[in-house]
Amino acid sequence: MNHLLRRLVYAPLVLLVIALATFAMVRSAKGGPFDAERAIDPTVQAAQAKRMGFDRPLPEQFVRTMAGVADGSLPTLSPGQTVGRVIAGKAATTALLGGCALILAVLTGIALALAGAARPSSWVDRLTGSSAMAAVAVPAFVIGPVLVLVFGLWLPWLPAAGWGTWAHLILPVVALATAPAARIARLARSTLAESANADHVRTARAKGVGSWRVLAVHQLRPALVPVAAYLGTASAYLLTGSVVIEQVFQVPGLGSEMIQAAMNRDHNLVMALTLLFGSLIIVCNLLADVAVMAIDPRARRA
Amino acid sequence: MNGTLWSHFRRDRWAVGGLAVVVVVVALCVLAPWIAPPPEELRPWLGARPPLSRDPAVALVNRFAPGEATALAAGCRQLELTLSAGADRLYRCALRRGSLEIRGPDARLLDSLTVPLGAVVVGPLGVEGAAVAGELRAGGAAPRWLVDPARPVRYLRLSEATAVQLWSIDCNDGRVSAIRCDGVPVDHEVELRGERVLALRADGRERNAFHLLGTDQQGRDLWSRTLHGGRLSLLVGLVATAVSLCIGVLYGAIAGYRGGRTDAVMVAGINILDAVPFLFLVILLMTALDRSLIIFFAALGAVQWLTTARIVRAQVLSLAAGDFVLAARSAGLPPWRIITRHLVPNCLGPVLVFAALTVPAVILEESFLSFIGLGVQQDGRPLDSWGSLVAQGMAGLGSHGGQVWLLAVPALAMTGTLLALNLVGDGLRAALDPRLARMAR
Repeated sequence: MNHLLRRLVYAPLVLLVIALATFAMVRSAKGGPFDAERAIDPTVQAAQAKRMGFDRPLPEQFVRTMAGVADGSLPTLSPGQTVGRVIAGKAATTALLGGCALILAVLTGIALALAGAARPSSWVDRLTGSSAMAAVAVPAFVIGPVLVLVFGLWLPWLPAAGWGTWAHLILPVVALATAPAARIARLARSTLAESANADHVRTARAKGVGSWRVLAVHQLRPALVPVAAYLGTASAYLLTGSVVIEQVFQVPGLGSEMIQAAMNRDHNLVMALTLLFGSLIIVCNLLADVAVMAIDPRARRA
Repeated sequence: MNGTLWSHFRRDRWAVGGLAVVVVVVALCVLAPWIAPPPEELRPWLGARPPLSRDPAVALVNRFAPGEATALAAGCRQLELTLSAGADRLYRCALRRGSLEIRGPDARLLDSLTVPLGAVVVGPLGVEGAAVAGELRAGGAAPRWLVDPARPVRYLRLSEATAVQLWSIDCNDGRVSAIRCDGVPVDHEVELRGERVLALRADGRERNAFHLLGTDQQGRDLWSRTLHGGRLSLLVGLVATAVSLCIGVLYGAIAGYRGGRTDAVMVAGINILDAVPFLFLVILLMTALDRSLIIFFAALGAVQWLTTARIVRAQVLSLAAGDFVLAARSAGLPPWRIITRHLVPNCLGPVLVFAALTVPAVILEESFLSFIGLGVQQDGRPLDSWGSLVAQGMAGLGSHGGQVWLLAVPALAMTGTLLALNLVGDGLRAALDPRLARMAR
């Protein structure tokens, strides 16, 4: 409980740090989108600054900007667009992509760990273990293009890029889920190995419980604790991963919007997206803590 | 202690293999300027060549004037260049309101165009594709292989019918003494375009440039680009890790040594920063500032120091109770000296082991940034690193999956190096202390 409470106390502080950092960076940015070749008349410049609110004291600007991010009314570079509208239009895509990837990663990760633990040191165990070790090192932006090449271009089974149908979802989700699945497989596998000789497992075996049942009922639950604790980190990985994966597969989501905005030096939009991703990661960390407590009674007492 | 660390490490076959790979990659990348041609050297042949291909070793423009020295002629008595004497013409094909518009090399509108076999479509960024032979009509619908509605302008490159010329250049001490074209003496300066040279023989022997890993669309040698890109990736990885070590060791040592309220506040600081998605802040930073190497070192170093600080703090906390610290303190040593002279050297072992795992993490982040186009820039020009090479390789796939080597080579180089570094780091960590391994996870 203590741990969760601490996280709850920290959450607003974390958000404040992110907000201050983003604001400081945006304000210190050199070269805005409206940088003109020739010098602008100082009165025009002053009027522009007044319109954008740059003549106010910094703390006031900060509060106004953050309020604009919070209610989504901060303007982006495109005329008439606000960050709220841009995000609302694309959030569902990224949420679908990330959600599917998370589910796929957890399911395959645990399945691989169970397959390996069912027969320790067998070829299945070695194969899953070493491929998980390798997959952790392969970045999503390498897996993505390779999948495009193999399943999109050489074997034209799936669309190589784009968005809209279920078939479009498969390759990006697999590319995004590979590394977290490998990480989950390794985490779960090592806990399964630790509990293989635990007292309660030996007792269950001695009572004649089948080996699969021992694995799935008695050993799996403790193995889920590190997996649940990892989910906070995984969500951060999935969000950063979605930035490249959406670019690779030309998915119109928040990630590709982030790159677009960064390239266009659309500081307001990058700031809003950074804050959104930051808050999402905070929430996911909290959820991961809740999940750990739900699985592990010891964590509830600590 | 170092002896036992190594003897533990040596028993881990994977880690030793990883170390061997790391040593080879680092050596190749460090020696890149001496073992590979400069990566920016353009070969005259526009268009990617597959691995193991050979091209005549000429430059983009080759000048020969009687009595003057040329680099090509150094060390030989006779040069023979086989030249195709045709000319390339670029036709601009554009979609205008859904109908095809063709302009000739002189920008005049054309009604129709016959596309011969072997014509080449040149897209944005110089990406090339094969054209389909046949008749193109202006005003009609455009075929998919030519113009795609998302990118409505393409160029068609047609080679006019060619004749083969044999240029023979006699040299004396690196100076041109006589020039002949198909046996006819030429007494004025000539300029031979590199892309037209089909073969180059020096004293009867073929003189070729060999491309172990092929070339990219602009004719740049991929072996060389990969090594030079690796130099940047490894440099950023090492220096940013060093930066993160400096921050982490100082922060952790101060927190651990001061203890009490200072420690509590500093630990809270770590816990808060732990939940900050630094990579997004770095993206924002890269858009806000100019992306010089120094900023990369600082920004990526600032992302990775938290775990180092935790490890150092825990170590210092236990060390600070030791007699040698008490002795130093009673000898009147200022806290600063105690930290730098007595405490920090004592916890360097685990810190360096953890640093071995930080290097691949930093390389991954740098590649991530350069993949999305926010890599290091120098004088406004992006520098190559493995991440940007992978991005360009992906662009090279086009819509047919050709030019696979442009993706495969940098991707394999990067993934292999990351995997090897991870294996070394894991091996070191397991060798140093299994408990630490669990703590840092």
